[in-house]
Amino acid sequence: MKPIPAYLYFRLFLLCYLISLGGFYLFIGGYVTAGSLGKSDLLDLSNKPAGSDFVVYWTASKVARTQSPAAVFSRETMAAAEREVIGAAIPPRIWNYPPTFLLMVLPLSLLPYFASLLTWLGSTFCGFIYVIRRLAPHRGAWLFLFFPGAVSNFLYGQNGFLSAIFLGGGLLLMDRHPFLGGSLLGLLSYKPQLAFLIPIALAAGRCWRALAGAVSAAAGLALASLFWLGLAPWVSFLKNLSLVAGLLERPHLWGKMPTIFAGLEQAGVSPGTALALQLAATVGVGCVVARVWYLAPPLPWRGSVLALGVILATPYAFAYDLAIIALPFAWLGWEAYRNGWIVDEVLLLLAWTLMAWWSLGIPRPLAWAANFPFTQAALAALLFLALYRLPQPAQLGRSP
Amino acid sequence: MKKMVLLVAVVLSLMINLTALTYGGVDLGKWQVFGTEPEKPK
Repeated sequence: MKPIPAYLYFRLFLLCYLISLGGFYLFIGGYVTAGSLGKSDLLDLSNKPAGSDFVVYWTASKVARTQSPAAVFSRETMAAAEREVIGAAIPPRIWNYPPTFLLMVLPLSLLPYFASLLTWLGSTFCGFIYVIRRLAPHRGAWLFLFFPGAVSNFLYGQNGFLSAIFLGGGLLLMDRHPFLGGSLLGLLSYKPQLAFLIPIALAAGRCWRALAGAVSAAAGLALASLFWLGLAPWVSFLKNLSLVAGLLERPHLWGKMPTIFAGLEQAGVSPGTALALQLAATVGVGCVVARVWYLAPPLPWRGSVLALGVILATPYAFAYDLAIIALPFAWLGWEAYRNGWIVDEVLLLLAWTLMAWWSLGIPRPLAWAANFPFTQAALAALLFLALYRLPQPAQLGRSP
Repeated sequence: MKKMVLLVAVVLSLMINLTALTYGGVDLGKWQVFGTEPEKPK
């Protein structure tokens, strides 16, 4: 019988390790959340609101529908509404998204809290897996349920799947239906800090119809929010921007942010230097994205470089935003699988491991390395892998 | 043979994760951005 090469054992073991790690966290997260069922309040077994950050979406939806859309920016109003929803005193949480996202979550409070939480996470997860399945048409695509960004998004009760749907879906549609694909990309403007590289990529790739779609969708969404919610929430949002920027200076959040800025701050670099290095990285990554889009390689490379660039270029992202990084994993993983690039597959699994340790939990013997920016390192390594595997200039749409 | 290798990999990874999580502990209270009180500035 032909012996099995050692790297295949290693690959199989890593895969099993990562599935069981993600599975453990999903199980424990579900158990902790379900602990609030049947209680008089909605605090879960870890004493935070069931569904974590989702409480802000649901409460904002209720306040916007029953009081006024601008009231979601009021600390007192939101604190009172959250106390009423949760049935216990919790630290107040205010809304700090643009009114465009308020428009998207507006229907959430039409359903009771738990049903709404399940609908939100369930429907966005289905969309996310559908997109992943289209990028990597393999029966194992459902394993992305255990992807660190996906597990984090479940644990945080957040919008990472939605961002991945807009980015991945838009890129998938772009080549055949440029305006429609661009429109989907434009919806990512609900998180401007994740969307600013998109127009640069589209312009560099001379994808004018997609760019028109993206600009139209972003402007249409802003106008729709203006029409439905009025001018007041926009004024409050703009007034509130300094508070949001202030979140970058809170050390307790750095460990949850997979950005270069937060990684440097956590490593003890001074804020000024960290910001300067982040800016340099933003410009550098922006140039790489523009260059790759100008060369017009096939979608897996354009998409992977843009998705990785989105997180590497922004100073403001959280662990659940890493759901976006499932896109380059699916694209690069599928290319590695199709072409028999076993080393790439193992590298992707190792990057997945580092991200899991960073965003879910560092194994106890490695606790001393808890502040090491594993995820940032993994993202940079993936960008290099994508660039290394970029098709040769002769195979590309444009000469360099 | 293949099934045996798969079984060993599954059992081994479950044991490693279970040991690491039991030994290291899981703090699920930390999975939130909103509502976390800021620490004192450095």
